[in-house]
Amino acid sequence: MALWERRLFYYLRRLADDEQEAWDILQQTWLKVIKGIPSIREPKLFKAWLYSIARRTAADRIRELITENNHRREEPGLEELADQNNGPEDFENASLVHYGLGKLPLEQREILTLFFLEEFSLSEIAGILRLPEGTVKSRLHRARAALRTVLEREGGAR
Amino acid sequence: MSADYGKFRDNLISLEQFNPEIHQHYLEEMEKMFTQEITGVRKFGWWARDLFLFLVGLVLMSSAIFDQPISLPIAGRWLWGLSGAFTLGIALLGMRLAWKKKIDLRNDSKFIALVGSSGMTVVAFSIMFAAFIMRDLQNMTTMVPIALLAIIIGILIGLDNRVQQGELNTREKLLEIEYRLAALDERLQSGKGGKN
Repeated sequence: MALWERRLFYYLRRLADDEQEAWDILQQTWLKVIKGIPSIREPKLFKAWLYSIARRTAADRIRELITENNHRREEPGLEELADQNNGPEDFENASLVHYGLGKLPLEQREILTLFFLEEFSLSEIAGILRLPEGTVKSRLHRARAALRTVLEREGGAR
Repeated sequence: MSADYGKFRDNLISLEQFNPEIHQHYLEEMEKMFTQEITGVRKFGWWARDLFLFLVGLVLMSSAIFDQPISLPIAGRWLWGLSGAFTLGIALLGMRLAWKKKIDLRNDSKFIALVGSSGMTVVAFSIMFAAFIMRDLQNMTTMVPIALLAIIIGILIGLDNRVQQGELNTREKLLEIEYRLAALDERLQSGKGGKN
């Protein structure tokens, strides 16, 4: 538990309004995780499963998480996304990323947190967020661009 | 995962500071959530069961060492003695928890159920096996009821665990309902905004 506590807390803190709420969601998450562990047949799926439980638990309390999945926006074509960097290497400064995440809307903040925190693949993120892979790809692309814009703007202002 | 990425993630996580008081409260709540007090009638039941098992274990062991079943071959006698030692072990394990007055529902209850029910089944079969190879009707009439008793105790230990797991389920459902009601109440009172 201790191994995952800080990581899950970081993720949940990006979703929750305040710290107390994030701890409460984490507590509830553990309860579900402990009861559900026997149903895990593939240990390598554990990480994504853990985050999906945390996400679902958070969604019970954070209305935005439910409504954002129902939003239908015009997604860019996949060819537009072909040049995107697949790793977090272009965001090397953790302090800046942490700061930038706080400036993004929930949808982008969440997808980037999953990406930076665990280096989840598109299909794993799609499983956690219960969205099609194509949608995840475009959202991630937009979120990275938004983060870059925030960091450039802040960098210019400093 | 590369070492650089691991370092990046660790740095990212370390930037999230938390209030030690709220964290302590969370740890206490976690502890409470998975702990069950043994009080009242239940406490009495635990002590009675464990003392009984302790006596059964003592009787089985002393009889294997000192007197009957004297007609048993040496392997059967060892089996008989080990059954006694196993029963004593289960009794001492139960007594330790009754003394602590609380059970960790994550670990203790499953462990007791597993060791207790499988152990008592082994004890029962050992006694029946010993009775069978002795071919002594007088001893068999004593040993078979003891074996049946061991099976019943094993079943009771398993059932006790099911009840505890059921309580854990109920607690989870209640928490869920509580959280849903709180969220609903929050939504009714005001349109909720996102995080900073």
